[in-house]
Amino acid sequence: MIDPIKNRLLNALAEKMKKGDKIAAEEIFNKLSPQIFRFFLSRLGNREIAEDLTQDIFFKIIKKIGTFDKKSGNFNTWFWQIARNSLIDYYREKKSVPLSDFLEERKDIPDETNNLKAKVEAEEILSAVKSFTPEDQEIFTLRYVSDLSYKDIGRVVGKTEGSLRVIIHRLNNKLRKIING
Amino acid sequence: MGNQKKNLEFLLARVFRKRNLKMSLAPRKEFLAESKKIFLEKFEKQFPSASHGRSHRGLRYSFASALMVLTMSGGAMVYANQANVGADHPLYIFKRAGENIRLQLAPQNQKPLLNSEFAERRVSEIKEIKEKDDSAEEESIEKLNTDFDSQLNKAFEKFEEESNNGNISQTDRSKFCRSVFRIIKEHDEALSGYPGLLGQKNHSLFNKNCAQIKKVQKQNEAD
Repeated sequence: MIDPIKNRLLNALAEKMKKGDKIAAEEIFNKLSPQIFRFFLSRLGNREIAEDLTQDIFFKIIKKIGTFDKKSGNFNTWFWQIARNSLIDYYREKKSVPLSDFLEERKDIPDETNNLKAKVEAEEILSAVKSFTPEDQEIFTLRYVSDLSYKDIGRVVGKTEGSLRVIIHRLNNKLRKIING
Repeated sequence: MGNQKKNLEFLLARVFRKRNLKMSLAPRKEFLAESKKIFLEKFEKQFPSASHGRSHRGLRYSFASALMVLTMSGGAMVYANQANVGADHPLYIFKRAGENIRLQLAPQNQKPLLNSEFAERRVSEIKEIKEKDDSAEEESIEKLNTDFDSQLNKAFEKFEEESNNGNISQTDRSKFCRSVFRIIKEHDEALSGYPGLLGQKNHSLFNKNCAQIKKVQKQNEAD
C-alpha cells in the first residue's frame, strides 16, 4: 500500500481503537504484527524473545493508545518509536546480549519457506548486515525487513529523508561488496 | 553499459534476496493467532464497553469511503485509473489509491482477479520505465516489483481460499489461470534472469489450480 494512504488508514484505525473499537484494534494487530516481529527477530536472532517483545508491544499499545494524538504525528511513527524504545530497554536490561550479535542464535529461525536456497541467501544477507554499525543495522532493518518509508524511518530515528537515502545507498554498496566478495 | 548491466543484475538479486529475507523472518501463524487472541482479551479488559465496531464489511466500506474522500481530487483518481497512467506520472498515486479502493469494495471471489490485474499493471509499468531509460531508477523498479510480487501472492492466497469455499466459477478459474500464465511470461520478459518468481508455495498452488489450463496453453504454444 502507498505510504501516505497506509498512514492515513492506520491513523483512522488508531482513532477508532482509542474509542474502544475492537475491530479497529484487530486490524492494527493484523497490519503491524508481522512487520514488528520481523524487526525484532532480525535484530535479536531469537524467535522466542522476538515473540515476547512483539506481544509486549501490543500490550503497551493498549495502555498508551489514550495518549496518541494524530496532530502530533502519525500512528505508524508513534508505534515504531515505542517498538524502538522497547528494544533499547531490552538491551539495557540484558547487557549480556551485544547489539550486533543477533546472528549468533540464528539456528532457531525455521525454514518456513521450505526453500534451502532462499534460506541460505537470507543468511548471507544477515551475515553481511552483522558487519554494519548498530545504527546502520537498525536503519537497514527498518527499511528492508519492516518496509518502512524513508519518511517514517526518519521520524523514528531522528534523521532527515535525504541523509537516510545516502545511508541506504552506502549500505547497499557495502552489501554488494561483501556479497560479491 | 557493462556497469548498467551489473547494476541491474545486482538490483534484481537484491529484490529476490529481500523477499527471501522477509520470508525467513516471518512469524509463525500459530504465534500470531494466539497472540492476537490474548491482545484482544486484554483490549476488552481495558475497554470494558469495547464495541465490536460494525461488521468487517461495514468497516471496510467506511474506510473505503474515507479513503475515497481523502484521495479523490477532481476526478483525478478516475482518470488515472482509466488512463492506466505510468509510474512516473504525477497522478500515479491516485491510480494506486483507486486500486486499493477497488480491492476493498470487490466481492471476495473477485479479489484474486483484481490482484492479478494489478500485478499485470506493475509488469507494464516496469516495462515502460525500462523502455524509457535503460538506467531506470533502481528504487522505482524495486518498488514496482515488490508490489507485483505482493499482488500475485495475494491473488493466489485469495484464489485458494475462495476455491476451497466453492466460490470460484469455472469461468473465473479459467480467466484467472490464463491471466497468471500471461503475467508470468511477461514478467520473465521484462526482468529476464530474475529467479524464484512465484516461490515454492505459489508454484504448487498454480500447478494445483491451473494444471489443465497450463497444459492447454503449453500445447497451444507448441502448435
